[in-house]
Amino acid sequence: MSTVGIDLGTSGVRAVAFNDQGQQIATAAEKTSLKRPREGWVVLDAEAVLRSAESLLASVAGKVAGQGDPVRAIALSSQGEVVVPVDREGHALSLAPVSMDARGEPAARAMSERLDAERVQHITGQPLNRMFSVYKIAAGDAAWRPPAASAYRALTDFITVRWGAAPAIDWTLAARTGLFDVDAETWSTEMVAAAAVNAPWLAEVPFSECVPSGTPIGTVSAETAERCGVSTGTALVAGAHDQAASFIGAGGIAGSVSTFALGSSDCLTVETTHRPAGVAGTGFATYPWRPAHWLTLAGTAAGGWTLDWYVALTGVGNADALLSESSPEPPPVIVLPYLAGSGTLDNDPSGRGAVIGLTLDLSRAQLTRAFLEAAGYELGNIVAAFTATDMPVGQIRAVGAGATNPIALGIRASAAGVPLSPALGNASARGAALLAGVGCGLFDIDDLPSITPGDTAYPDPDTVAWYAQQRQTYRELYRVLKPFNRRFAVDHPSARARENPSEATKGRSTTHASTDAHHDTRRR
Amino acid sequence: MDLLLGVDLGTTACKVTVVASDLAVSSVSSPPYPISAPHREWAEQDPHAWGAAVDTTIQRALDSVRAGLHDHVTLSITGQMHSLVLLDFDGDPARPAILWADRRATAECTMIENKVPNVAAITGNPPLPAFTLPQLLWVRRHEPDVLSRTSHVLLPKDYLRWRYTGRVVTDWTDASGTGMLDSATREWSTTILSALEIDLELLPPVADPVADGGAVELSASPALQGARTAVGVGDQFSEAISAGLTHAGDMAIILGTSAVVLGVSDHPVPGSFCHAQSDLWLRLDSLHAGGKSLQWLRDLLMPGESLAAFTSAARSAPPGAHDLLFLPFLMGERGARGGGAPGAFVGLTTEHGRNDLVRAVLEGVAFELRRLQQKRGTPLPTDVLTLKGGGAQNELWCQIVSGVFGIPYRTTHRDAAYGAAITAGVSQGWWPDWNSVPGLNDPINESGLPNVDILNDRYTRYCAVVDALTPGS
Repeated sequence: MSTVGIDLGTSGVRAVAFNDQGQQIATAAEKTSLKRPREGWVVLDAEAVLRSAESLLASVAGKVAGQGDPVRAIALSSQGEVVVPVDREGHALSLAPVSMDARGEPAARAMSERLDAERVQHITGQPLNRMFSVYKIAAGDAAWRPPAASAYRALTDFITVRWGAAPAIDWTLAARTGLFDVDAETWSTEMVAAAAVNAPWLAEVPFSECVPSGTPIGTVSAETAERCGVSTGTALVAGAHDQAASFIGAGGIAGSVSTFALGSSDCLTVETTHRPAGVAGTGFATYPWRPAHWLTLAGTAAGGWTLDWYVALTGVGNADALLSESSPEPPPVIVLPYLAGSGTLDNDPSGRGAVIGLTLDLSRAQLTRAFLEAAGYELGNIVAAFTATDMPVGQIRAVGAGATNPIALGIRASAAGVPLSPALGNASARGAALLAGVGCGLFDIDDLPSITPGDTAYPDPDTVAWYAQQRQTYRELYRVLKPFNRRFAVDHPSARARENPSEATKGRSTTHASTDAHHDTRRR
Repeated sequence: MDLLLGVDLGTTACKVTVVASDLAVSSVSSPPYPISAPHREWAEQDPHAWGAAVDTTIQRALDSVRAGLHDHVTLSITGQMHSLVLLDFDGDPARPAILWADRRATAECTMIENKVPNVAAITGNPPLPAFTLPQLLWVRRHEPDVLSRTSHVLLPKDYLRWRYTGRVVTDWTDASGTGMLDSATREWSTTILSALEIDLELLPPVADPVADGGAVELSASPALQGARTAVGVGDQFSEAISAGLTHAGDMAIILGTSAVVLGVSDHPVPGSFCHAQSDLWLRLDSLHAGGKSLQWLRDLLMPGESLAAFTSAARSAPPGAHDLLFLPFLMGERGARGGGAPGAFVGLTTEHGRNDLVRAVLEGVAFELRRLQQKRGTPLPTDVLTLKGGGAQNELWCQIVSGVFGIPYRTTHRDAAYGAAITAGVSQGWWPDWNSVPGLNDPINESGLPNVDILNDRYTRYCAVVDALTPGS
C-alpha cells in the first residue's frame, strides 16, 4: 500500500510514492515553464500543470503497482499565491499568475489605504504584499469576472476538483490567497469586502471550502482513474502549501525541529502550538495547518532564484560544479539577494539586489561564495528575529534542491551562524504523501514516520566573528539602499508598462535572460 | 630626413611613434612588461625592463621607416606620471620603481597634511598615495638604507632620457605630479621640502618641456646616436596636447585602462597640474578602473571572450540599463582616503541580463567621470568633448559619455606617443607652439545627445547612491 504526494513547484512538478513506512518507493518529475507575457508578469499554464500531474501520477502509479504497493491516497503540495479563474467545468480561463508576478501592486496599495497593514496581518496572518492571490484577482480582466469566472482556485483544488473531489482548499494555501482569516479558519468577510470595493467580482466569485491539511476531500473519478492508472475511489486528501508540506515531510516539530527550504525562494518554517504573538508589523507569515499547529514562515522570495540568475549569468552549464568551486575563504564582497523584492524581515516588494565591495582582484569563486553567503546572512538574521519574538527554532533541517550540495550548504551554515542538517528526499512531496496517509487512515497525524537527516553542516569556528559582523553589515547595507529601491520601482519598466504597454513590449524584446534558462540550471 | 620620435612609457607596455617631416605617422608597440605586487596594494616595476623595452621598440620603429645615420632624429619621451624611480650613485635603480597604482603610502599622506597644512594650495592637489612624495617618504621610513644610497629622485620618462643623455632634468608637468612643485611658480616648493626635510639636491632641475634635454650619447641604435631630445611631458599632458587641448576651457576624456577627464584652465585651480604651456594649467580627474572595469566583468562572467564581442551585448540594453547602476570603484575611489565608496552593482533584479550589466558598466564609468568633473568644478566646453583611448573606438561608449555630459563628441586616435612626437617637433621649431600643430581637429558627432534626459536622471541617482555608500557620509 502506498500514498502519493505531488508537488507543484515553481520549476517543475514531481510525483513521489511512499510506502507505509514513509519511505520513497517511486518518483517521476517534469519541468514546467514560466512565461512572461508582459514586464512584471510571471505566469504558468494551470492546464499544463494538470496534464503533467496526471502523466506523472500515471508513471508513479504504474511503478508502485508493479511492486505490489498500489496507490491508496493522493495529496498535493503547491507553491503558494498562484490563482486561476475557472469556468463551471473547472477549466482554466486564464494563465495563472505566480508569486513573483507584480500585477497586484496597485491593488495592494489600495488595500493599505482601506485597511491598515497591521489589520490585514492580524486577520490573514500574512503581511500585506502584492504577491498574494487577492491582489492579482483584483487586477483581472473579463476572464476573472462573472459571468465567465465561476470560481477561483489555487493549483491544488484546481486539480483535485478536476479529479473528482469536492471544491476544498487546505488552510495553508487558503492563507496564501491573502483572504483567509487564520483565527476563524475560514474566508474573511472583512478582507473580501475591503478588496471588493475596487474589484466587486471578488465578492461574487467563490473560493473553495477551507479544511485542515490531511482532511479527506473526495475520491478519484472513474475517468481520472483510467487516465492516471489508479483505482476508482482512491482517496483525495487536502495537502498543503509547499513550505508547510516540507516541514511535515522533513519531520518538523514545534520548538525543536524547523525547516529551511532552499527552492526558488529560501524559507525558514517554524512551528508553534499557538498563534505566535509579536509578529505583527513584521514580514513574517503565519497560518495553522491543523488545530493548535501553527507554522510561521520567513525568508527571501527570490533566494534560490537569485542564485539561479547568477549561475545563468556566468553561462556555466554545470551549476553544481560552479557552486562546488566556491572560494574556501570568505570574500569581502556582500550580495543583497533581493532580486525580486526584499526578504520577509522587511516585506518590501520594491527591494532590489546589489553586489557591494567589488574589487579588481575578485575571483569568480569568491563571487559565487558571496551569492551563497547571502542566503546564510538572511537566515541568520531571521533566526535572530524568531528568537527575539520568543519562537524557538531548534535544529534546522535544510530541504529542497539547494540542500543537496554539501559545500554550498556549509557556506550557508557558516554565514548564518547556525548548523544546517540536510533532509534530502523530496520533503515537500513526502509531506503531501504523509498527509494523504493521514487522510486515508494509514498514519496517525501525531505519530508520522520519521526521517533521518544527512551530515550536519556546522559553522566554521574560524569565521564566526567575521560572519557576525558581515550579517550586521548586510542589514546596514539594505537600510542604506532602501530609499533608492523605491525610486527604482517607480521607474521600473513594469510600472511604466501599466501606463504605456508599448514601452513594456519594447523592453521585453531587447533584454533579460529567460526564466526558463534560470530554471534549467537549478541544482544547488 | 627629419624624424620626430615620440616614446610613451605606459604602465603595461611602451609605444614609439615616428612622425616624418611630411607628417606621415608610423607606430610600434612593445610586448607587455610585468607589474609585480609583492604585497597587497603594492605595484612595482623594474626600470631595467622599461629600458630594455624602449631600446628594442625604438629600434623597431626606426627600422620600420628605414631610418639611418644620415637622418636627423629628435626624441621626446613621455610616460606614466607620479611613479618613483630612485637612482643610486652608480647610476642603477636603487629599488624597483613604485608605481602610481601603488596604495601603500597612505600614512605618509596624513603626515604630509599634518606637516604642511596648505600643501594642496601650493601644489594644486592634496597628497595621494599615487604621488611621488608620499612614496619617497615611505621609502625613507621603511627602507632608509635605500634612500641613503640614492643620488637622484626621478620620474619614469626622466629616467629613460637620463639613460640616453646622462642629463638629470624634469619638466614642470611631470614635476607637478610629484606633490612637491609650487604650481604657481613652477619650481620645487621649499616650504614642502623643508617641512618634510627633503634634500633639494635629490630632485632634478625643473625645465620647460620643450627645452633641450641633451643629446643621445648612449644608444645601441646608430640612427639615434647624437639625436637631440626634448625634456618632454608626463603622459597625461602628452595626451592633452595630442587631443588639441591648448586653450582654456578645452576638455578631453581618455577611455583607457583607467579613465581620465582632462580640462584646461588659464590659472592654477584646485585639482590642477601645470600644463605644458607656461600660461595654462590642466585638471586631471581620473578613475582607476575605466576600461579595466569592462575587462574585469568579462573575466568574471565570460573569460576568454573577446572584449569587443562581450561589450557589444550592451547595445541591446536600453539607456539606464533597466535602472541598474554600477559604481566603478574596483580599485578604490581615487583621492578618497578613508575608504570611499565601494565597487558595486546596485538595483539588480532577476530580469537583468548580461547586456544590462555591461551597459551599466559603460554608464557607471561615464557617471563617475562626470561626478569627478563636477566635484572639481571643471568648466564644461560648450562645443565638443574629445574622446580618446581604446574605449573611444566603442561608438556606444562614446555616445553614452556624450549623453552623460550633454555635449557632442569627437574622437581621435592620436595618443600620448604622438603627443611626445609633436613635443619633439615644437622643441625643434617645426612649429612655434602647440596651437600651430596642424591636423588636431576631428569631425563632431551628435549621436549621443538624444539620451541626455534619461542619462541625466540616472546620473543624479548614481551620485546619491555613491554618497549613501560612502563611509561616514
